[in-house]
Amino acid sequence: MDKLEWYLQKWFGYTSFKDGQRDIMEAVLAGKDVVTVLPTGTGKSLCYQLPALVQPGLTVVVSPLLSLMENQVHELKQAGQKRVAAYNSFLTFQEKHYILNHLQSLKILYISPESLQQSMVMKQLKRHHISLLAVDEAHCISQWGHEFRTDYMKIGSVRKEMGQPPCLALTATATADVQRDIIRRLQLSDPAIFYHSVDRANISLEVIQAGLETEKRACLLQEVSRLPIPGIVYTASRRKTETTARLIESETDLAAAAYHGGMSQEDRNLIQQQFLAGDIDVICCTNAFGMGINKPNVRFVIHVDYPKDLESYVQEIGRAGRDGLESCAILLLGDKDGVIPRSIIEQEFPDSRQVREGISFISTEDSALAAEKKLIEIGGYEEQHARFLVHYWQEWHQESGNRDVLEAAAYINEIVERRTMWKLNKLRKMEEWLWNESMCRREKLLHYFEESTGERPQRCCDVCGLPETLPSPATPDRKRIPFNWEEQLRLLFHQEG
Amino acid sequence: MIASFTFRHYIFLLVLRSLEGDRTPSSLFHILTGKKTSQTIQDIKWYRLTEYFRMFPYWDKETFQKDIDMLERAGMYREEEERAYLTLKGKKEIERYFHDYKWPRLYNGWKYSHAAGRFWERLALFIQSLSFSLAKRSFLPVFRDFDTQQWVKQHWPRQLSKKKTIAQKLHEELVMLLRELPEQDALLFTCRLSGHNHSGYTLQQAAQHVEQHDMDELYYRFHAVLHYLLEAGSDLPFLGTFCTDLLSQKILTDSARKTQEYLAQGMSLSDIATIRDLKQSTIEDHVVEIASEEAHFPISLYVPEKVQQAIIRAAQNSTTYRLKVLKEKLEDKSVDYFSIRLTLAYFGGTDGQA
Ligand SMILES: [Zn+2]
Repeated sequence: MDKLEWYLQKWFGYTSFKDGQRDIMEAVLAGKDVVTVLPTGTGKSLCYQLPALVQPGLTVVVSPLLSLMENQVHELKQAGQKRVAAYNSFLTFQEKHYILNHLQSLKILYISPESLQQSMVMKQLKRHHISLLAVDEAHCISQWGHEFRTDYMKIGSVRKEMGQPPCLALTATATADVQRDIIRRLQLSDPAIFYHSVDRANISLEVIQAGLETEKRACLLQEVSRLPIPGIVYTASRRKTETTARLIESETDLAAAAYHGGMSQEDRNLIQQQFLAGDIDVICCTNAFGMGINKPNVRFVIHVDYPKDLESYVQEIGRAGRDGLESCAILLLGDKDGVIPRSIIEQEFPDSRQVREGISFISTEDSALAAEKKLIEIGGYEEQHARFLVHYWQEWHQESGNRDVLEAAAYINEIVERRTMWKLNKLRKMEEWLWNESMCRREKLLHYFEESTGERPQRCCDVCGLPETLPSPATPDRKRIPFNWEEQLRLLFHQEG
Repeated sequence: MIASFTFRHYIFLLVLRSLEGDRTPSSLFHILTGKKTSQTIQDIKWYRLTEYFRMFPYWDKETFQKDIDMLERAGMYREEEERAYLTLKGKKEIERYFHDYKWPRLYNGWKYSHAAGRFWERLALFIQSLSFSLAKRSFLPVFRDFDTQQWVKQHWPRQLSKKKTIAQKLHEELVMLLRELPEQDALLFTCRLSGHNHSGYTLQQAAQHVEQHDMDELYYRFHAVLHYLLEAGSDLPFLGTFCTDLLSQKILTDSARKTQEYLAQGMSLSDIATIRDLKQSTIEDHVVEIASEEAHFPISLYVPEKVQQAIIRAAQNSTTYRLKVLKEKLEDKSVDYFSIRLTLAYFGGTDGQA
């Protein structure tokens, strides 16, 4: 056993590396810049966690997902690694202060992209030796990615300020042009690129034509009753996660629960806990808010509403079958489903009136943070709209040197139009894939990601034909907690009767 | 469509019964959602409504407006010159609804709502950690915020024997206290706790378990258990550690606290107003707030004892606490509104006892 394996076992309890992990870590430890395209659930976080613990200095991990940060910090702490922390805008001032003053005792600092840009944070980070800058969800840096975030654009300059530490860019899905964008914007020099296929052979792909909404509901009930559990159902809105969970609870013997961003942190933690413990068979969540947890034995992912692009789709169905066992991805396709994703795309950007009014509102403001705050708090703008406006207003102002509101609005409106077109184009690619009935779905999906198909699994897709081989589910034997509270409390505290 | 009224509507009417005709609908809204302003604080003291303070903190303005519109259409509520009134029908409806209602053992929003949330977080996380630790299993913590985790860390027993003792004692204390409660309330509380044998229920899930489907009422009942545990548990050796520091925190607004610091340095109200660049009336609001919270507030420095007594007498002989009415009743016409407000805030309630 060599040093890396020894640490792997000591800190993470694994005896061997998964495919490719080792090569990535060695490249990282050699101080190279690295790009990895690995599907979620393949242990990509290990690629920076292990080097972080082995190397001297601090590893900074940029991640936009709060739940992911929290879960990883928690998992590491449970494994006995206390020198980790998560820094984000939800902390109180004292908590932030505490973390920034204890950087020297940390090995890994998780941080949100917006926090990374604060001067207070930068000032402290610059005092320490940064051994690695890991950028999770790196596709957010590209305007051609499916989740572009303006605050990611600045990571390149932040990296420079840190003294250009080696950089590891991680993403689950990235087409070739997005990969090029990542390399350019993060200013990676001669990076090592590791690409893993988006293909998951143990997940069968199926699209079911479900007609109208009532038929779709019936179809959903039929599918969840037929399939082995546990599973995840994706819907387009918070409200719908709740109605869907109620529908499943009332019409089947399964235990279902909703999970979305509008719930309190406590409730979300409880539902996660119940799902992990097997108390809940089916979790209904929005595709904007997936679960941050890693449950290996998810047997199915059903989409009641389809996502806005294939990248999201691949990520969401990737939550199934992480244990490598046979699993299903099923999408219920209705006649009128195109409306929702289109309105979601539209709402992502401010409309032309909001652009014009917003710009004249902030045109005298020099600080980006103050401008954002003004738009959100006084103007009532949505956070992502405000961020978008401020970013492009500043870009315009810096490049043209002028503060003309109408000219700036025209410039920004053109960007909005271009971005919207781009997104609609991605949506159409998604729809092409959905309505296709002649070409193997797996092959078509891989085509989109510019990959060639390998061997097709036996349970491939509905176009190739799916044999009914899945075992019928056993009715879950659920232990309800007693109605006798004294009994319940006694068990909780391990007291004898 | 027939309007369906729920727990929060009837509570609104109940609170309205106490300050009918004296206050605007938004005064009621601020009491029930727990907005800490000098006006709200005076209201709950004068009208003895501290128990209703912050009963539904999540109630939003829009829903509230819809709710009172609905009550008005049903003839249970009316507004006149921006003041809120209870109709005869409303009175009857309250009596019918609360006729055999089994109130929780204790609920005091003014005294405990600021501590209840943290208290629950500590208790739930500590019990979960203890339960799993004794079962030697790992878990996802119910609460992950820094303060709560830090607190649990500081109070965490390291040795196994210590863990077992705490489990036994804490269990004993909880059973003893919960036995004093209605069965459903004890069940509601226990089913929300997480441990090695059970993942805690969300309030929604608990609704199914205790078969109580009015979510506002359920929220209230759950918090009532917490308030009760805070009051009855603060003297107990184990439960006490979860709440003593929370209960000793002052409930003044930040701004009033600052004024209090200046007062302690011996500054006059007008000096404080100048230094803080605030209106004199704002500083007066602060002083009223401080007087209502501090039993040792030196009220006689501001209002001569004779005047205090005259004000209390006037208030006792009156059915209202509208300042204008009280001022007219006083023989000494030089008594100002500030003196009246201060006196009422300090002595609080209807019987003139501090
Ligand atoms: Zn196929």
